[in-house]
Amino acid sequence: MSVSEPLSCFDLAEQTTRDRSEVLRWAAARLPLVSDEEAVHDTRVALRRMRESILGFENCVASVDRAKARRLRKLEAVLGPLRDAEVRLQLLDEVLGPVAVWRDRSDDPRLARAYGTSVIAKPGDVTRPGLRGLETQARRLLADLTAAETAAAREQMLSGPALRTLGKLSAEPKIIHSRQSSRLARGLAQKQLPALFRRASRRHAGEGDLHRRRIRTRRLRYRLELYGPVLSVEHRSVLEELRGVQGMLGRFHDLAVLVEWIDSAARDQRRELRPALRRLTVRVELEQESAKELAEAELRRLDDAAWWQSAQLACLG
Amino acid sequence: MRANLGCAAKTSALAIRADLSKSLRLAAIDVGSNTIHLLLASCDEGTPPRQLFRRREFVQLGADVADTGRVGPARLELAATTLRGQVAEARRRGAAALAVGATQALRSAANGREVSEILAERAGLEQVVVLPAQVEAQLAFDGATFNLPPAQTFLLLDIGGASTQVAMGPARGQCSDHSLPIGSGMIASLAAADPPTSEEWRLMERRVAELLPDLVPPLQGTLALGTGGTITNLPRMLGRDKGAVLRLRDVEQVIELFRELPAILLAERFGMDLERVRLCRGGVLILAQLMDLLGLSRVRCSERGLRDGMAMGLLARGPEWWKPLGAAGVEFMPDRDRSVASVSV
Repeated sequence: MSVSEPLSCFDLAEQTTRDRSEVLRWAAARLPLVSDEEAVHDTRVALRRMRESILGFENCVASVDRAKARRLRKLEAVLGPLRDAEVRLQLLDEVLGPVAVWRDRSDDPRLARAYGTSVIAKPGDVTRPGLRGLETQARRLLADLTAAETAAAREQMLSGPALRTLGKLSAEPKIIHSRQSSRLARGLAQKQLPALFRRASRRHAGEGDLHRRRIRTRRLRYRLELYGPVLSVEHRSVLEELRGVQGMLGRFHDLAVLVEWIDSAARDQRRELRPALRRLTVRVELEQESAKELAEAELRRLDDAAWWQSAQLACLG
Repeated sequence: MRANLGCAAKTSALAIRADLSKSLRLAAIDVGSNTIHLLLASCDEGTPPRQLFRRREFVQLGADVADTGRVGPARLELAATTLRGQVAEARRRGAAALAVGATQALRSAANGREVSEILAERAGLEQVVVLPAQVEAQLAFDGATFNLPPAQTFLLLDIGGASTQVAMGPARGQCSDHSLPIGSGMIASLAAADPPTSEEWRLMERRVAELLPDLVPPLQGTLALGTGGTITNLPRMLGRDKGAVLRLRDVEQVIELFRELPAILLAERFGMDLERVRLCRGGVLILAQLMDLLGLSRVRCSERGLRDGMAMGLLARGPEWWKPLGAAGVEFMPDRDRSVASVSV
């Protein structure tokens, strides 16, 4: 097991906050670009990482900058609806297919011959790919609503104080010299990480289990990234594993949000579209269920193998 | 195989046919998955049966079958008593002959044949015919299209308690049919709350989406008719007359009502059986999906259907009433494992 150089909290905090501040400024610069599909996501991640570095090195950061953590979180929440709409658009494409893939040819005499008088497609028949009934219209409606929400959220973001705030918050926090900041950063990691590992591994009863574990796994991952330079190199494979779990949990969460959104969006639409919207919801639900099964199986695998404990040992030695 | 002859059990089919010159009172009883339903009609050759009397009781054989795959003893007892009562009623009201047929519940029950024999014995009938799905569809199609223009193609949606028949063909002619393994009872039974919770609605919607196969819209110009307990009750919930034309938005309007109000309130408001209201919750979800998937902009509610077809069959073919016109060679045993896509007459 090899451990990196013994960095002090001050050194690591300074290095990390400087790097992260720069990443945040770059991400923020991309934010107004409509064509940059990852700008919002990258900015939110950069905000989270910046916040983590302030929270992780709380005792090394000047008190005036400590309050930044809360403001960073607020700003991240402001970007939430825009990112949600972007994710929704991607998921709609992925789960329901692109819009207008099918052209109504039910009155085509060649098709009539193929089907005879049957209304039920037989195996091998040229059935309509993708969307059926009024699903095309319903699918387009969902895309239009999402596009409108994206535009509104973007407009609000660009016209509001968010960008200005972002500019201020992306400035490097001041790292101060103190008795605590002169201690070894590894010691700080050894103090903080066990509790985060324990929380991430904790199972909860009921519906909220996956949601809680998603949040805690993410927290653990960000903190591991923060202390990465003073952890053993094995922490990289731990991070890889965590990214995998987090991806699965995130997908489940995004699909659950999408189901709720379609449900609420359907209420205000033309009645004729509702059966098709219900079917589309069912399709997303099925996808959500398989995402849930995958995430649960992955967590079970890690829990059963006592992975959390061994990962902690691998990182901290 | 012989028909079910009631008080006139000794009356031969020949006698019935010979008596065509004057109106006959014939009775048709359909032992369904939700109800046992008697129709007493005055029948003349060449005209649709004229309804004289109806009696319907909710026995819900389909509920047992859905739970255990069999009809349990308590439900059998209830069905036997009900059927005996309806047969007696038909006889008392002067039915010259009876046709009694059972549908999906007994078709799919593991003890369906045994139950049909017990029902026949207890009701004093020679037989309760377990109708194959394609025969049921043809009889319903005959009943619903009898007085409609023969050159016109019709599509009939018959939403039952445990199955739905989709039949298409020229009026009074042979239809192609498909029996879909989905019915109002099986869907409605997924909800326990009243009105159902949003999770229960979601569960019902999902089950409907899962059970409906890929459907191909019929050719333009095909007229759609709907029959069965759910569809025939929709006009009154919409404040319309019997036989009204329903659009998809009408069906969705009823779904909104079902989502908002408990069954007891709806039953009072529209003068419906409480049980029918509950069953309709499942039926409307099926109807909305069928209309959308088949691209049907409107469906005309038909008060006529299976029982009318049975009465007409009784008049035309006597003891062999269940052999629809042009359906020679169909197998009359319940075919439980039949795949939906392979069914055709």
